[in-house]
Amino acid sequence: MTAYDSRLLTPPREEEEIAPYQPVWRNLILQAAGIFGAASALVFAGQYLGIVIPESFAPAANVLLALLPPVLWLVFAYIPERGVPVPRERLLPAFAIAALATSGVIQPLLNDFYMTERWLSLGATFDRIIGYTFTVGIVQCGLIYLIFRYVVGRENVRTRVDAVAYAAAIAAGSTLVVALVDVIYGQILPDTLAPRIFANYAVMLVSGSIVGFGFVEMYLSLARALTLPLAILFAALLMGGATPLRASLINAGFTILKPEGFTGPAFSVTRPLFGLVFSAAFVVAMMFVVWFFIGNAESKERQQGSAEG
Amino acid sequence: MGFVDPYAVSSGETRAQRWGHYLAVLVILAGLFLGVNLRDSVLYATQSYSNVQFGIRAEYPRGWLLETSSDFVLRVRDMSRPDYKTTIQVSVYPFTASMTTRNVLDDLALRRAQTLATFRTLSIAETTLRGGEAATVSEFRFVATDANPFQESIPSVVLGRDILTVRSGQAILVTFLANEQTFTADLAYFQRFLDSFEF
Repeated sequence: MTAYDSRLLTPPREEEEIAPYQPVWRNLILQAAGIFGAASALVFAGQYLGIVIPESFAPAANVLLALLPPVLWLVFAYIPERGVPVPRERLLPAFAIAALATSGVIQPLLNDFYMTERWLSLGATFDRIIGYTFTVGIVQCGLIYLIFRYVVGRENVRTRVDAVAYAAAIAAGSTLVVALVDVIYGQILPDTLAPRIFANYAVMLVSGSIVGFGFVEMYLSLARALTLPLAILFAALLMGGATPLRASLINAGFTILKPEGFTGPAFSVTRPLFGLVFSAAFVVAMMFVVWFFIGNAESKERQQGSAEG
Repeated sequence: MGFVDPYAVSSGETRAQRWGHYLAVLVILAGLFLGVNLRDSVLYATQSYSNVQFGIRAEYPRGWLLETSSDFVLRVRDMSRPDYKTTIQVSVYPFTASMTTRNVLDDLALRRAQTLATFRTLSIAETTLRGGEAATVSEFRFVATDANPFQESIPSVVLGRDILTVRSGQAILVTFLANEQTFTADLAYFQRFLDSFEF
């Protein structure tokens, strides 16, 4: 019987590189998919299957929905982060400051000072995009920038995906407060609240990732001084564009509907599924853009490194 | 001496990084300022009204419903409000030498008490207008109910403010009415209307 030495037949096994940092993209997809899944299940059940959560359970269901983004963030991002050799610091402070600032500064500023609902909701689409950009967009992106600058800090920026990791923490904190305000002060049904939570999470995640990318790129690539302000402007514009576009998709048209076979009176209804699909497409497309920019910057850096080496 | 960010200096940032932060703050501040301007240009946009017969000129909020009637010279209402429509109204009453402004206000209070539910005058005070003219300010409240029974609306508590001044033998009354929940916020409209009001 012939004995073969496996070392001679198979190529030598490459030593697996141990990543010192927690990977971000997979965990982020799980978080976003969790929120999207809950929202789409509730909308589909409510709108198409006629399954409505009883009114007595609605407040409890709303609180659970409001807690969903931070819980998913804790489970898929914060807790796994503790298990890697070099965990990201200041994730929890970024989450907490985002929540506190949204509650104490952003919401009063937008509702009582800018009063966006009183004048922006009635304008033409272009006016609304510009209006939301320089009110909701710039205020929220200003907060994101301040968190990156003074809470995260340059000393915690080590890779470009850190921008996305901290953006997810900021999005979870901000979304929690906005959802809790809806739950406490508004009479809202779970199948209406869930898409709003996903929409808020989506715009905050995208804007946070873009502002964060501008921030980390300044330190890791020694980018030009205009990179960060342009990133803030672009993120504000995206936020300003997404808000009215989503609203125009959701709002009921003037057409009175009467489904085939329906014997009751004709009715005109909102279309939450359109808004949900828009938010999902928005977050997927924009995070793909962020992923592309991060990959592009890293490959440029590798090429530069190999040329110098 | 220029502004030096101690955080940037202590963290050893390059010039481009420091300028990046300065420009970022500048962009945010400029954006916030632009947002305020946009808000004011939409929220406080006005339209002109002039009435040659009474010699009135005023700027009223754009989009508000303008009405004229034999009971008043001018009335503008914000019809976009879901409950009580915020209202600014101008009326003119004859005023003789033997009358005082208090007579006009008392007469108004008596008439309003007969037509408005739980009407009550809250305060009456003397004031001076921007042009130096004396005027009397009266504040009152009542409860407004939608006349349409099919609306099934909840009654609103309405706060009102009358500004009464006398000129050329006429008492000019400018009245502001708003839901008590939005009264303070809506006073800005009234203030701008008064600033532009010429009689």
